[in-house]
Amino acid sequence: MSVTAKTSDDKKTVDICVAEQFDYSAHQSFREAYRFTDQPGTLFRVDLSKATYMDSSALGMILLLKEHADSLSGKVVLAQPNSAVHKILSIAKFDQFVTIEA
Amino acid sequence: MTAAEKLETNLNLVLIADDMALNQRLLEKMVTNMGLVAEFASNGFEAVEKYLALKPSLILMDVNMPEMGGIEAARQIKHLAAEDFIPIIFVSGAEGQDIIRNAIDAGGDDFIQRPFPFELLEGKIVALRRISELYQQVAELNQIRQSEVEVAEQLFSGAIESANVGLETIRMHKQPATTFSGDVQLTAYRPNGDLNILLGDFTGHGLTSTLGALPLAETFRAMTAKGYAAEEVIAQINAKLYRLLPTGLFLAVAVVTLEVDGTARIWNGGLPDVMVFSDGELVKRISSSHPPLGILPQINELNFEICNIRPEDHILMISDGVLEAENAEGDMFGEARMFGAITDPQFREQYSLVDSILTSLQHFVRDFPQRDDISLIDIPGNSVQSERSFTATTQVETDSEDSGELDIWDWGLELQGRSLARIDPVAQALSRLQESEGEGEHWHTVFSILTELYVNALDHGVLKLESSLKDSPEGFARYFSEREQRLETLSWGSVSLHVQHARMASGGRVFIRIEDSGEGFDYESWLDNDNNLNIGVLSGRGIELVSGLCESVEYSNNGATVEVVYVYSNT
Repeated sequence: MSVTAKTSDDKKTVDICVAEQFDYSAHQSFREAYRFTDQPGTLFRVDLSKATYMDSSALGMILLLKEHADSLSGKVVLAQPNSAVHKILSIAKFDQFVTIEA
Repeated sequence: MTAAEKLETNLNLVLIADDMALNQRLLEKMVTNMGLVAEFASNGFEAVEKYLALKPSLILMDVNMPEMGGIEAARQIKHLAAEDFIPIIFVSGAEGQDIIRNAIDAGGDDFIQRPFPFELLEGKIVALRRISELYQQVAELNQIRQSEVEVAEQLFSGAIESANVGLETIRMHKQPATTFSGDVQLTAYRPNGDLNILLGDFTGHGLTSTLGALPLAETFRAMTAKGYAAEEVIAQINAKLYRLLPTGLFLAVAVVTLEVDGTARIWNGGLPDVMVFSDGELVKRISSSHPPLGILPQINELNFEICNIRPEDHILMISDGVLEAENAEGDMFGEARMFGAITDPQFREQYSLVDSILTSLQHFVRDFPQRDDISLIDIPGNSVQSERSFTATTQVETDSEDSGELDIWDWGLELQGRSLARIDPVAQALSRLQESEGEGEHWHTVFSILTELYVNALDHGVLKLESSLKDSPEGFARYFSEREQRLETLSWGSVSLHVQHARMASGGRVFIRIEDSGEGFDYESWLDNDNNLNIGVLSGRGIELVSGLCESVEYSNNGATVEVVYVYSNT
């Protein structure tokens, strides 16, 4: 597990990249990646292209991120999940309330 | 000192293991200067013996001693100590990288080489005693946690899952990853004999994942027993979990309603596909069509799949722990292997559906530790037909009518105009029944029937509200504000309620007639050609509920009069 975060120069986008296993072990670092962002309207883009696996606690972490984004009137986008991760997201029907980019 | 007390670690005692009397004296002096008490051993054997007999809190160990050296003694003591932490400091004149490495490998916690200033050893002793205390605290906390988990586990299996029904045919298997499982398996009967089966998987594992299990089980049981359809039960569970659970904690769940006529209504929100097998072949899959419960403040439209189940068919529900179970190579069990097990003719001859999967799964993972809860529910198609207690009620009726004992009373009430807004005839009827016939579970059902029928008569007959209003969330709210407003200004209309109770050999029969002053409604559109109820998804559920609970439901007078018969038994 490794989580890296990068805020764009205009501070409007936070890119969070989760690599390898996206599970409970990422909890702390995933939260640290966004919790201090308080810019209204921030777009949180979670890059999942390097994530190999995702469990239900990771789904919970995304909900927490969404709650944070909603409080800033911001947005969460999940980007480039591999097929295994995409399957988890589609079983949980997260596409009904979070944008998922292929 | 009793034997039991000896087992406690002697906090002030330091064991000095050294074959040289001079070394023993020097170390003793230092130890006593620190306010501690010294004991002695002259070789490794003695050190092991004294450790067992005296339980010192720290050991100063020489490396080279006759008969058994310090390194072997340390190895044995650490092995005997098991979970307990007994710090061992090697004190030696011997030199060499190998000795230090061997000493630490054998379990030594520190190494000091002669000659050394006393302050150095003193510092090491103080530091290690501090670590001992931390160890002690962790051990105590762990013990508390363990006993809490055990209490919770008892509550869970006792209060939640022991009330499950239908287990003569339904096979449930649960294999928790930790002591405690986030998976919940529930079954309950509706009053009409339909069986509701729920498999849920809370986020995460351990204690936190079971926070929602109690409200989940309570809502599921209470609402199913009152006759609510799965849609309402799911909506209520969602509302409750949304309110109770912190963000990030939610419930992936699938619900199967197996009706007495063999119809299965299946819904899946976040679990792996629910599957229907016929003769070992997969004939239907019900994929997740909704986010797990506890995430959205209100549920979206629920897509139930409806299928006919023959008695010899099987419905299989699984949690993702089954498909994602890993072996030592990091491969997942997966659907293909599961199908292989289910369709294997040899397996089918030898094992049940669940055992086929479990055998194959066990073979696949071997000893590799399980990361997620594994849950399986196999519902054979004969699960409701085999249940007899619900057909018994009709027998009561014929029995008593044959016996010819007459014990009947009637009660009625008619409300006109403003009294409709003021008086609750359902509560009056119910208290009449309870006063005359005693307490009983069956009055809950009568309450549901009366409420549904009375509300229909009042809302649609007198107040002329359209139930199609309720089809959208906004309409739902409008319906109720409109209802309140019309009730307030009501000055016309009437509803009459008539209840007749007849005692029977082992129960009773309740006849209810409700008439309203309205123009009736097109009740025939609810019925198909065979006079069966033909219910849409969003309206008419009240009628569906009543007809599920009653022996008979008859509309007349263009739908403005309804007569129902409900039979109960006292057993």
